[in-house]
Amino acid sequence: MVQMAGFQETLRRLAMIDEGFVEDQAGVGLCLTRTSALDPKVAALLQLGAAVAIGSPAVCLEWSATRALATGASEDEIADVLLVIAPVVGLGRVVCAAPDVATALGYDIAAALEEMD
Amino acid sequence: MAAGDVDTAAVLVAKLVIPTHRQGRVTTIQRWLRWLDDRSGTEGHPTVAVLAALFWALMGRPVESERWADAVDRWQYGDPARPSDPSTEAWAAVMRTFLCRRGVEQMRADADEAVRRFAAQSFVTPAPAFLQGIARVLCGDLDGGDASLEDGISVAEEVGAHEDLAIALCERSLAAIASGDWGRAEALAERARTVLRQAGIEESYATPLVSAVQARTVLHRGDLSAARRELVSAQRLRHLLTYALPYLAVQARIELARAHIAVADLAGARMLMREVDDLLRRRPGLGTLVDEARAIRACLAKNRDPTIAGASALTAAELRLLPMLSTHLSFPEIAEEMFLSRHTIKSEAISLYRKLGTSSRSQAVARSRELGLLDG
Repeated sequence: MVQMAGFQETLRRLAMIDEGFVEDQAGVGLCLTRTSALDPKVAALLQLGAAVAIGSPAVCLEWSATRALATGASEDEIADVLLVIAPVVGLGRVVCAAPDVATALGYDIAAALEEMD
Repeated sequence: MAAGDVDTAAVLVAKLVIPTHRQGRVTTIQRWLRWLDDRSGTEGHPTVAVLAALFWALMGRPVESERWADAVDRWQYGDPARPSDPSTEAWAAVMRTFLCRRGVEQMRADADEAVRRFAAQSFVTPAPAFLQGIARVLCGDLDGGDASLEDGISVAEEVGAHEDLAIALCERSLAAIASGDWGRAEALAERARTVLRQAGIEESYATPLVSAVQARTVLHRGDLSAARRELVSAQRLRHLLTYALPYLAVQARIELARAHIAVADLAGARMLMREVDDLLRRRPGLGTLVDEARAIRACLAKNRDPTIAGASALTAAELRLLPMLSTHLSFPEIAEEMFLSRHTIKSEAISLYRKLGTSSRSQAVARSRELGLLDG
């Protein structure tokens, strides 16, 4: 195994959102239980909505959706986040995000569209 | 090759599939079936279609299994004037029971038919009795189910049907757990594991259920590390349990989810229950398993603690990708091999690295080996 240079390690871990690394090194708190009024699932779904709204890259969307799943959100709830934010953030943002969110749910839209049913 | 040769080959394959499968030579069977399929060699040989539907179901290949099962249905129900073939009719009943495509009540009726037909031919094989046992249990008839499972176990021991035997032992172990007899449950689970080990078929469709049941029994006496080993072993092989074997696929995941909850790994349990939901969408009529799944879902909904998505929360797609990462194939090559888009492979790989706590392909492979998710 090749030893990576420090900057390579940093950039890799940022690019894939290594949660421990981001919290410790970038000082970004990722904990979903910081507030008492919102339960972790609602917090995770809101964060996913916000990530879609600001046009986050694929890896952020996949990570946000995976976190939402881990807090107990269902696939339907995650897909509904895209639907409910569409009137506010615009259809374009939501359409862009759909394939990446789908990937986090184990659904390959590109392959599915190619396949015969 | 002349048509007669293909016919002769089909007859031989029909005879040899079961003994060859018991020897664990699955690649050979795959080659035979593909060879016959390419030459339309199953026409006029419905037994081969029945065995192919069963074989692909055991290999975790539901689409192929469904295709052959449909062909058997067409043969059986499409031509009332077809010549009588009691042996194939009996195997077709086993196939319908095994695949459980129309819910557990129909599964029970098909199992009863299979038991009757095999008895009428004085042919001894464990599948009808053990499937009848499972079908009865799923319909809520625990005592009737246990009696059939016992019959299935004695025949399976006699003929060396190791996987059938292991599953029947697991079903009885689960019944013992349900009645609170943990000592007996553990002994049965241990015996199921020994059967697979001694037969050298530890990478079998039966393994996830064996691991799940063992995880539950060792957890009951507080052996957390043994339970974790079992959960990893189940995780590696649960892709073999698809909607082609719906009751086993759901049952194994339910038991695994219970074990994950017991070791406080809620993300892992939720991943399994999402797969259960998906399976139940395709095969809704699974009797008592539907209620069991509902109870676990309710338990998970009550528990709001967020958990980090770690190695136990690898999705089925990520687990399928894992062995490909240990090859020298590039992502585009893996995508081509797996019939997926490059984008998906890249995305899954990143998610996999993150869940494993690694930042490169070689680290991910090394970590997977440490965890026992990959051989080597």
